[in-house]
Amino acid sequence: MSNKELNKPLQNLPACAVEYINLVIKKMRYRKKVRIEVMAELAAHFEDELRDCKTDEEKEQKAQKLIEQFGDAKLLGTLLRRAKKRCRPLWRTVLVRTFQAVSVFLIIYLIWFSSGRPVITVDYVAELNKLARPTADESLNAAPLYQKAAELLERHLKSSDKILDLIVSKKYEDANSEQKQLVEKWLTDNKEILDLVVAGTQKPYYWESYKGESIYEVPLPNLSRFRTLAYSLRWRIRLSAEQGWYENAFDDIKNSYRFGRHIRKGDKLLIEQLVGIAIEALSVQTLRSILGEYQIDSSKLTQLQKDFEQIITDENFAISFKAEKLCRYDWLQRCYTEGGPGGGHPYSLAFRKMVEINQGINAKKTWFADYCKNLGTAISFLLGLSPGRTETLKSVNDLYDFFDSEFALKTPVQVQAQKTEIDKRVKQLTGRNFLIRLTVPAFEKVFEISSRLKTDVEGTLTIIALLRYRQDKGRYPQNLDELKQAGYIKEIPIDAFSDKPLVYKKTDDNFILYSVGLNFKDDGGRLVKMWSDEGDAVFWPVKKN
Amino acid sequence: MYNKITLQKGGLMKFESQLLKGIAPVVVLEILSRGQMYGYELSQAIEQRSGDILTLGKGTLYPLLYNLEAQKLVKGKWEQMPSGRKRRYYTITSKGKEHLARQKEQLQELTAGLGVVFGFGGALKPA
Repeated sequence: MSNKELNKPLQNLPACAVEYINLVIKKMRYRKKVRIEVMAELAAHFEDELRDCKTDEEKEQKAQKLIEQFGDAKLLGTLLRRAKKRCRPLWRTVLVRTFQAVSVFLIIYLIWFSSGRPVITVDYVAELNKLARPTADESLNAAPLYQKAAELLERHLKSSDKILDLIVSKKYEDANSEQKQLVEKWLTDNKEILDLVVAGTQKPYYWESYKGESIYEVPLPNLSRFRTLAYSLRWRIRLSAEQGWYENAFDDIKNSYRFGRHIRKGDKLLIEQLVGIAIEALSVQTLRSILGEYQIDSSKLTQLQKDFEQIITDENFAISFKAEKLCRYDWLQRCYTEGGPGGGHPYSLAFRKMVEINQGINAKKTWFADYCKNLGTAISFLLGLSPGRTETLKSVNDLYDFFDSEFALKTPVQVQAQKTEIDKRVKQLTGRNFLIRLTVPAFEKVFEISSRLKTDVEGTLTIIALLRYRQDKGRYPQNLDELKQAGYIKEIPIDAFSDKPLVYKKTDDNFILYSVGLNFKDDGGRLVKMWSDEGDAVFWPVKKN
Repeated sequence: MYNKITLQKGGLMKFESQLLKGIAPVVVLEILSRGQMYGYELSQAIEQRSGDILTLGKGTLYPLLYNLEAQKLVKGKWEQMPSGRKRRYYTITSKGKEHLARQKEQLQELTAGLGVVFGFGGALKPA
């Protein structure tokens, strides 16, 4: 019977009867279909009772009498509901009872889940400071000098957006003479800034004192300023070279490289290490540009090569993940409660905060969104879709141990060859924990960046050796073996992206030296863009714009 | 004169309603055993066939019918009338017939026993 058909009988009844029946049905509080059927039956009863009435008044009176006989609407509704409940099939009863039991359980579970809070037991910022600081006196730390340089830079550039823009965004080779003069004047007027950086590079160590409640919120305001300092140095290097002051230029290149290495080296935060690598790479790139543009005599090149080899002695270019691991531990203690099933469950509001910090967003918060996130996390944990604290801790430890063992000992080409197994293992370790996947750095990319720097540096040193050879012997060597035999290099540089020597090809009166690059394929020295996914990473000849 | 005995919850004759608590279902089953009926028809039939002694309270009628339906003693079915209206008819089931037979037997034994106690020779007689 359709709802439309069942609603028809009420149309012919007096208002008091309609009101009464509707009230009874309302008080029934049961499934709609059942209520409609009961309503139809009651309406039919009233119709039958009022069938013989001639006038509306008579109908009204009889209806009132019948209502009195039916009794209290609420009581009748209750009795009807109870009776109809008994009519429902067993499977429906079981389903309803199960649903009620599950709902009660879920409510109790949700209350328990929501009442838990993470307990902060370890000051990981202090741990990070212990890790990052070498055993050395504060007087050997370059940080105060770099910080002062950064502060002066900020002060002097505050009123000079144009200069800042030139230094950071404009390539020297694209600048006109007026722009070069402008920057040169600024560098001369503010010489003390770069002098502080140079003084800092003479110190053996650099470490920061981290401050903050959690590692995730440790401010690193100087990093962007360090980048600007590195660009300023680059400008000074190019200006010196243009004026033929190659020794000054080379000194600044070495200083710039040491500056980058200070920031990168040690058990520092990943972001610091990446900034350090970027500054080192910038230094090496600038050196190649100068070598490509100017004729520099062999004696200067010899000294440069010797100094640079000294700087990179015992250098392994490896990225340290120890500080990152501390970050994960800090994240764990802030995002999981202590104790309970699985060692503790995720605390969703903290998760949301961590994700926002990680992604640099500041989403608008509402209680409803928080409630939904909490509910989602609770259900996910209940269903075993998101692991507890103990399992997460194990995953973090296993993951970092795995990367230390895989990436530390392998070259990018070796990692690429085992990519399927590595991806599978990573998925195994992070599978149920999407938040580890979210907050863990892209290990492969980071590893690739450090390998690029190593190849860059070795390639550039090889270029210096080749240019020296050319000046001394009047020609380029046939191959790198010859270069090594002649004592211009100690070892033949190995390309991390092929596990073979860098590709060297002698041309008419020049040479080409390149790495096969990120596609691990020898494209014959075709340069699309340095370290892009296509083509090779060509160190020489240096590409002019 | 017989006192009208109303079969309903919370009725005026509370003592009688307690006494007749189990009677109403039996009465309904007995009436339905003679043919299917709809609710209104059933309430009229109870009055008429009991000589106006028994009245099934309207507030009791439909809960009772639904309870009997839940116990599978009766079965309800919508039927289309020639006028276009629909009515829900109730029919006693075979289980209902068995239950009715048992209840009637028990009532007869009860009546006989009470008759012996009150000296009515096996049947209740009016005051």
